[in-house]
Amino acid sequence: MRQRGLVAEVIPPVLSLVAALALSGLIIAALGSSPLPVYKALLLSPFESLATFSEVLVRMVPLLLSGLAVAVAFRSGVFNLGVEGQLYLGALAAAWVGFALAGPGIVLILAALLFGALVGAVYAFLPGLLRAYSGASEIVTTIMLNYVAINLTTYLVTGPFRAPNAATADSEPIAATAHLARFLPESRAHVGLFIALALAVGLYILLYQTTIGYEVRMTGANPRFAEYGGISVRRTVLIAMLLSGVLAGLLGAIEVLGVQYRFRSGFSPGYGFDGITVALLARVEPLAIPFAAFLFAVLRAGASIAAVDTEVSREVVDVLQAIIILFVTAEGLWSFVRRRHVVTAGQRG
Amino acid sequence: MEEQHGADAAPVVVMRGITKEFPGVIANQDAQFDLREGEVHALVGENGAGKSTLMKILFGLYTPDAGSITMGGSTVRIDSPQTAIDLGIGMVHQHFMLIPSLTVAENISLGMEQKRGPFYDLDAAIEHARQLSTTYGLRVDPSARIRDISVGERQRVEILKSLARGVRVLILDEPTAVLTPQEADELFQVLRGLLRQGMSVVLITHKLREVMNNSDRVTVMRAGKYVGTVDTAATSTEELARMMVGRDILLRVEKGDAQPGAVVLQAMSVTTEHDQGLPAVRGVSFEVRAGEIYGIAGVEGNGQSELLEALTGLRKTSGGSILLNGVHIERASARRRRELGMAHIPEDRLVYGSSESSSIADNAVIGYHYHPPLARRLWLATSRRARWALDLIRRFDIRGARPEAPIGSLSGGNIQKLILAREMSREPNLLVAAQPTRGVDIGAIEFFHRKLVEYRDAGAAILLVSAELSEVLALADRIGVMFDGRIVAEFAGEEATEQDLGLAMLGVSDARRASA
Repeated sequence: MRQRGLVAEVIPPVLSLVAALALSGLIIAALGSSPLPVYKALLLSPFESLATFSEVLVRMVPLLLSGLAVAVAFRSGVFNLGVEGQLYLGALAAAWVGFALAGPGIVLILAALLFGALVGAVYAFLPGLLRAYSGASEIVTTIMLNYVAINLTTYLVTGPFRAPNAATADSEPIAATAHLARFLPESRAHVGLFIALALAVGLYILLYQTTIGYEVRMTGANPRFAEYGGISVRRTVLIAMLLSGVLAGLLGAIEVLGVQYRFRSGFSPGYGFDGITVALLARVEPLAIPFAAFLFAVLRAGASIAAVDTEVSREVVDVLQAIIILFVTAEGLWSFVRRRHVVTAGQRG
Repeated sequence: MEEQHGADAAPVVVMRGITKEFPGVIANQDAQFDLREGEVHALVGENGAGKSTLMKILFGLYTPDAGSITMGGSTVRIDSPQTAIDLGIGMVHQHFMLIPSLTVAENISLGMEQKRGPFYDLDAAIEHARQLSTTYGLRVDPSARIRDISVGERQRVEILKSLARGVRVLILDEPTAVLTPQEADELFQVLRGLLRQGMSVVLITHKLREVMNNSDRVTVMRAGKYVGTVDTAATSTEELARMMVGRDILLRVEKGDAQPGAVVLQAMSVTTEHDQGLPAVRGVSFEVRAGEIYGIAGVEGNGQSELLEALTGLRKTSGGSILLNGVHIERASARRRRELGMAHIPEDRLVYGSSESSSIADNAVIGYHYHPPLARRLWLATSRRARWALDLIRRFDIRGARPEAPIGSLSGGNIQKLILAREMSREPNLLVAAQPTRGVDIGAIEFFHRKLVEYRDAGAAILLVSAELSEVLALADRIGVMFDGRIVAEFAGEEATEQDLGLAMLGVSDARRASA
């Protein structure tokens, strides 16, 4: 981001977006509709009223945090595909603090955030340990641990933590004092957004201004170089997984304290996996991740509106959305893969 | 130097005027090679001489920038390994390309599976593998899994893979590097059998004894260029060594006598293993004193790389001890060794020495990044870091370098300069320099040599490992020669001749210990 000119950085994603819109337009036209109203609903309608725009801000928070969680692991060269499971456990941990403990609001909120972060971190530490000491692929273990976490939390809220009289698998509601404050009139937009933005800046500072961040970046860029320079690759990978788990746990906790107000089984529509797309879209740069999350949230909100307001069906809108994300991400993915490829190509004798 | 003996056999492959340039390195320059039917043609040279590149061009892995390849009189264009295989050329790489979880038969038939209806015919594959195995005398069990068989057997599977595809020309890249002596003997017996069936073999190696015993002709390369081709029967290891090293490029470095001080590095009976578990270093002892350059000479693959990795903390030792300024470090981490005053210019600057996609500033500080003045506790001193990088760039005259640019934007020689600058920047009392001038231009070589001597005169101990004999001779105050995982001879720098070193390197002389 600091090496090439801003123009050179911005043009490729814009071109990808234009190409994606052109291809989607062809598909809509082939289905016999006019593409323009669909474009308008998808891209512009989220900005039409404060109500729709604040929904974008609500949707953006988990995408932003998930993007950061994926990014910090990526930067150390590991793929945390377990953000989904980590966020579920973090959410349940935070909800438990919210309904089982009592205290002043601020204390309760801090305790819930910390406990959510801690549980998320512990759950990410497991695959980190397996990777560092037995070489087990974190890609496989994190995905498998997702099922464990999702099913475990569902069991807990259908059994021990089930709210009395609840018809669905929900926990008891958290104390009202533990709700995160809302900052726009008549909307769900909550201060979790500012926590998430601050964490993006924090991750940037960590990566570029601290020795730990330096070690994370060097381990990800070329682990053998890092080892040669006296960096413990094992330790660094473990730290990165812990940080990733902290961010995933916070994601779950903030969703509970800011939006859900209780733990609902299966509440995440796959935030943990969307984070991969968001991180790649942002080229794994922390300061670009809020923008990527915002774009993603606009598309998500726009898709809901387009499905209602236009004659095009929900499934087609999902396809269009996927095309746009695919095109824009492919460009970011390409440069990320190319960077990693250079490292392996360096091995030629 | 080229000798034309009455063309007893027609050439199957002729390569002429081959040039191949990689960013910053000319790997082949106007190189040539020809292969006759039914011969073992050895291709020898020091490492970095361009042997593997030339053969990878023939096998279609690289496209040459210039030059032609003709087979049976007509020009061919080999743009992929598949084309090479279709033309009857096969290659067995140093690192095997097999799938460990599949069986021998499955690996051999991969990509050309026989079918029974829509299904893979496993029985036919096993039968086919067994037939090939007996026809060519390459003993393997077709139904064994690759991960369960020995390295020698895996190599036989690689050869069978080529034979199954009907190749007539077989290129073997350093085939004996990973074999025990018995396995190597067996391999050469098999090769003789293949020759009787009309095949031709290219043997890439730098083990001259192997060449003398097992080849018909030898082509020598040096620094990417063709030196000459001779009949094996009409040459000697001494002549080949001279051709490989080249007597005309003796570099002389201005340096006074060494003033050796206290022992800085002491290695005692150090042993370590290859990645495959075979012994690589079999009990090496030597010491390096302050104010002297100790050179280790040897043909690549005789344990020097593994010894260095063991000394610098990148490979575990299996025995012996290493002392740095009197402190045991054989179990210390790479970081601890740096803190005790060791710096290391690694053999492979792109894999260990630098991170190509990271900035020059990031590359300039590794190893010292967590220390004042570059960091305070957990915080990087970013502005001081940039100044530090600029200072190294200026002092070592690294042209075209900006601290924020990726190091991959520099030429190989300039990357190496930055590594040298970084490793010297904290004034270590031991500098381990492996192949410090490999692939860099002559001007940079002189610069490096001057720096190393200056540094020695300032009282540092320097351990220099180089495959470039002339470099060791020009710089080292004492020289140890490694052969087969041992230091077989030690010379005082001014007494050593290229002849003596060359013979010791090839293991052909008795381990003669000159006064050191």
